[in-house]
Amino acid sequence: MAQQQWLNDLYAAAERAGFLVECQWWPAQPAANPPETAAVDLRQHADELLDGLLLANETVITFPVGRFSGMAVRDVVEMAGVRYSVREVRCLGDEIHARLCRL
Amino acid sequence: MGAVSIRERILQRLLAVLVPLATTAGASLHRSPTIALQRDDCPALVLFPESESITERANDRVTRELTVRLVALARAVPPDCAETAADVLLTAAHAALLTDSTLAGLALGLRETDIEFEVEEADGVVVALPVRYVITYRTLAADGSIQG
Repeated sequence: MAQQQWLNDLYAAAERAGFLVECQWWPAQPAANPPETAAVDLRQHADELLDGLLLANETVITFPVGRFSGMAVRDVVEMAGVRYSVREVRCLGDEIHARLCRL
Repeated sequence: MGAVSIRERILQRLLAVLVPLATTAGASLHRSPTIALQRDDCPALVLFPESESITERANDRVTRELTVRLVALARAVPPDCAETAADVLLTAAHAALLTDSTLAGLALGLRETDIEFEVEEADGVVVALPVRYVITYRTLAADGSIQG
């Protein structure tokens, strides 16, 4: 619990410092989970695949457990006007890592 | 600039055959790209010359076999299937190439030899279907720009 609180405080500080981005989440089943907006850590980097034939961007958002509860594959999120589909959701300790692909 | 080899004319002919097909399919067409293709370049057809060997020598003529690799690239966000999209593109390209296996008289024949399947997670799912073709043609032994 203390660690969770510490993590929440860390994310709050990061948000105040402008390190996070606002993310809107639309669950595939809104009856079970209503839409939600929260600040997340956004990481994007490009990788060369297929022996250098293709350049692909990997987009991952990270947020503390408790935000976007119930996020699942094929949910839609939007950040800065760009919509993404959730490809993978992993829980690592007290954080959720969600891999996205741009729609 | 000197004469262009039959090999280069064959490669240019292959591209010329694929251009209308790529346009119809909304795909980009590339030859031996040295810079990685971007997301917006998909779907794509990519042509690579791979190797060439001399299979026969007779008098002053040689028979050559040129191996080229044609890659159909497609990406999709599930539940759409990128493999199906790449397969449709490759099937159309194959049909276009085999319409005239002599490539406007430049070659003795064109045949497909093998195909591979590569699937990667790349901002969605991207599928590459490389297929190899062997093109047989003849030139003078001393001049690759003259048909034998």
